[in-house]
Amino acid sequence: MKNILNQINDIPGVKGSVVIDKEGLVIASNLMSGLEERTISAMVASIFNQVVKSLAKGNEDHIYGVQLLAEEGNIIFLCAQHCILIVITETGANIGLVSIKMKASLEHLMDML
Amino acid sequence: MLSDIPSDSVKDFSDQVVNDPSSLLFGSLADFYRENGLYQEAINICLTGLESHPENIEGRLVLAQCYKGLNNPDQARVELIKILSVRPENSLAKKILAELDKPGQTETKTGEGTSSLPTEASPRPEEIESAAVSPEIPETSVTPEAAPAEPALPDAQSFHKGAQAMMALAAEASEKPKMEYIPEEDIPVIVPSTETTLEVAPQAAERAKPPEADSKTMNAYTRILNEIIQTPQVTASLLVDESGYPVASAFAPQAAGMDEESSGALSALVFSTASQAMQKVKLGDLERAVIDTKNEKIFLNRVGGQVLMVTAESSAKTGLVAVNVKRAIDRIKSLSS
Repeated sequence: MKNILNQINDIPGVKGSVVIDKEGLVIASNLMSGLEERTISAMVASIFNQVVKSLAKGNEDHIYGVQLLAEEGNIIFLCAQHCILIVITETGANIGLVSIKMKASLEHLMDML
Repeated sequence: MLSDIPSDSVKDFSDQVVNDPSSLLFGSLADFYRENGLYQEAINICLTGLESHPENIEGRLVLAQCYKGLNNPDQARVELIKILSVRPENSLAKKILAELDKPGQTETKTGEGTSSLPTEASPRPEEIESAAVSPEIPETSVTPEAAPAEPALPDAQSFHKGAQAMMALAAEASEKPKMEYIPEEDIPVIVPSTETTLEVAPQAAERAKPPEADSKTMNAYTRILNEIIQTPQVTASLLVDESGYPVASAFAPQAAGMDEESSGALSALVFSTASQAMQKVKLGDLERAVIDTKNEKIFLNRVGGQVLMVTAESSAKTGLVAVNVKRAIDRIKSLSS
């Protein structure tokens, strides 16, 4: 699992990646210093639940992923049946490349879990 | 106002509508005409456009405003009732209807003063209900006596005629000096009368303008949102304020049943939660959120203190939608500033 996260982190502009369960508990993480994995995972789980309640009528299987683009960085997360893969990037990172890599990585993670 | 519109773009716009009468741009073009007093041309464009898109609220709203501008309150009221039967929450339609219901607003050109009583002028509930019973806004909604004197279906020549008139007006407006010198002796001396005891300060006069200014801004917002839904696979665009109340909206036919109030409120809530989370993680203010779901993609964008929500089919190209949304945001920001 660490190897999968390392491959994502090799993409330029990526500051770290985390795998969490849908309750917000960390399964695996590889973050640069300065980023708190617990804070990030809790926030992402909170947003995920909010999106499920508000926009997917309570059906969490209907949410594929979310991109949050802010002034000083981005958080992208993809959702699978049991876990959420989170990647934190800098503002100028190649979002398209990161998304492709994340989809491939998520399939590997689902095979492992 | 006219000088702000490049004459080339008016012609392009007109050409586009002529070449493709089913284009949703007809409402915007008609609004240009209406704003510049070319009511009959605007009515012709609206009637043609509404044949292809009877559900188009913007076009019908422009049509109602044109009828109002031509002192034809009965026709305006018919169109407004149709709008309110489909979108009871449409604030602009309500506002125009209220204006029509004011005493003195329902007088005809000839001064016959038909139906001047507000109670007669206001839409009766059964009228709205009967309009709501029909599954969609009927294509042949204009009754024979209500049809304009000119042919309802304009040809390419009449479109170009209107466009030429627009361009001539625009050129005239750009050539005219902004201020003309008036010799001192020609300036009339205003003697205060006993009836006008209060002098209106310039600031107060400005404050008196907002209804018209608001209407123009709202039309501009609606126009921008309508352009967003021209993007392939985009189904709806909605501008909500920070409290979650809808400011303006545009829907493609496939999203006609969407509840703008609840969608707007939930979007604002999600955006607010995500924004707070990003600040806690020290990534600054959230600018954009893209939510990919099984049935659709939802784009939430910060526009100053407002949130622009755009929904698209799940197969929509995120990059293309994002580019068009970005352009729209820039235009909305320029309107606000």
